[in-house]
Amino acid sequence: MNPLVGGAVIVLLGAAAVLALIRLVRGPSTLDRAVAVDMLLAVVLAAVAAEATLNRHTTTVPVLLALALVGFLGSVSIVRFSAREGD
Amino acid sequence: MRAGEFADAASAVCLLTGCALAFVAGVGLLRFPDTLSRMHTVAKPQVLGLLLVTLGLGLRLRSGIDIGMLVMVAFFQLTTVPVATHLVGHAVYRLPQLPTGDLAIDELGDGADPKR
Amino acid sequence: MTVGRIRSRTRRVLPLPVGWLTVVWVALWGTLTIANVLTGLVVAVLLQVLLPLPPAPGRLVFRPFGLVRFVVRFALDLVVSSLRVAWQALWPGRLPRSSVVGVALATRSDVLLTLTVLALNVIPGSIVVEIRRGRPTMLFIHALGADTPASVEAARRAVVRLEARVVAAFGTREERAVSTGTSGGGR
Repeated sequence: MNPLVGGAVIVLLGAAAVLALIRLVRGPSTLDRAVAVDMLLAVVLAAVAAEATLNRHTTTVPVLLALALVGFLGSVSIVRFSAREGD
Repeated sequence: MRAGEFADAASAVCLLTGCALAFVAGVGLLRFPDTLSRMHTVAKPQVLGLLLVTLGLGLRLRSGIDIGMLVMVAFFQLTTVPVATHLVGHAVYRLPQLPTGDLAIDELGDGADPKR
Repeated sequence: MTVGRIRSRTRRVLPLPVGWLTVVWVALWGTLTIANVLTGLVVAVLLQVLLPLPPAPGRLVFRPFGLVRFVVRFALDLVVSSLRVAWQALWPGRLPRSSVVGVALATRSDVLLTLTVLALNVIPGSIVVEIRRGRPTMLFIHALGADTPASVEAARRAVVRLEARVVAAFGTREERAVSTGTSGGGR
């Protein structure tokens, strides 16, 4: 595939990851960070899928499936924790 | 061969659109003023972006069993992300100091919530 | 639909979940062989026996026409709402303010409520922040950029229409009758 496509993908996803990281550092609340972590995980998912698309291999497809299945558990458990603190 | 080239081109378009949406979601995550608004970016452009990237991968791989797996990836995304969104949104609204920014109209807070 | 009948069913192995669990298992292994199908069946039955789900009250019916309409509108809504959020994120000025809007739902079924909430999280500008069970069940959504009474009403109508589509796609006959009866009555 065209190397320009690969370059654009790296720039776009890299910028998205950096923006999510800034939000992760800034907060201000734990829930903001949970949202940022969700976002970061989604960017990683997109990056794994993009790499498989560019190099045309199927090695990482099961990784995608596993990440998509358990990805939401992180923020769900954060919510459980902060809810218990509040009550 | 022509069909293959066409599918590759469509795959590149899907991939780029999906990555652009992920980038826009990142911008929104940083720019929006309060937690609930930020969650909109994770719930919408991010989900559509991932679906497009997955579609692009399916168009590029073009084999039955992999497409089956990718359909499952898309399905799990669509069912699990709203669950996380709802739980986080619920928790945000229940925080001691409401970090929802300035709401124009707050029907939940007006009626029953003693904190406002 | 008595409690006793549902409870006696919890430990039983149902054919439909075993079927799709086996399909998922085979898809995960990636090849359709007899050994994979057999181990998939064993795992599916074991899952049902060892980890029984609580019985879901209410039934889910698939109506082909309503389902197609629901899926097409869902895809359109996902694209429209993504573009709208993207536009709001990139627009250089200040964001319009948001609102929390309460909507009364007509349906009483848990399954339909779950589906409505799942779908609501992707239609234009809404996130469900609170569900208050009762008669009627109230949903409270966070509507991004809804800062005038008119736009709040529009968000409320969008939720009611989405619920009607969910009921038309998945509801039983009685639920569909309730839905059409009350939406005309202005609930």
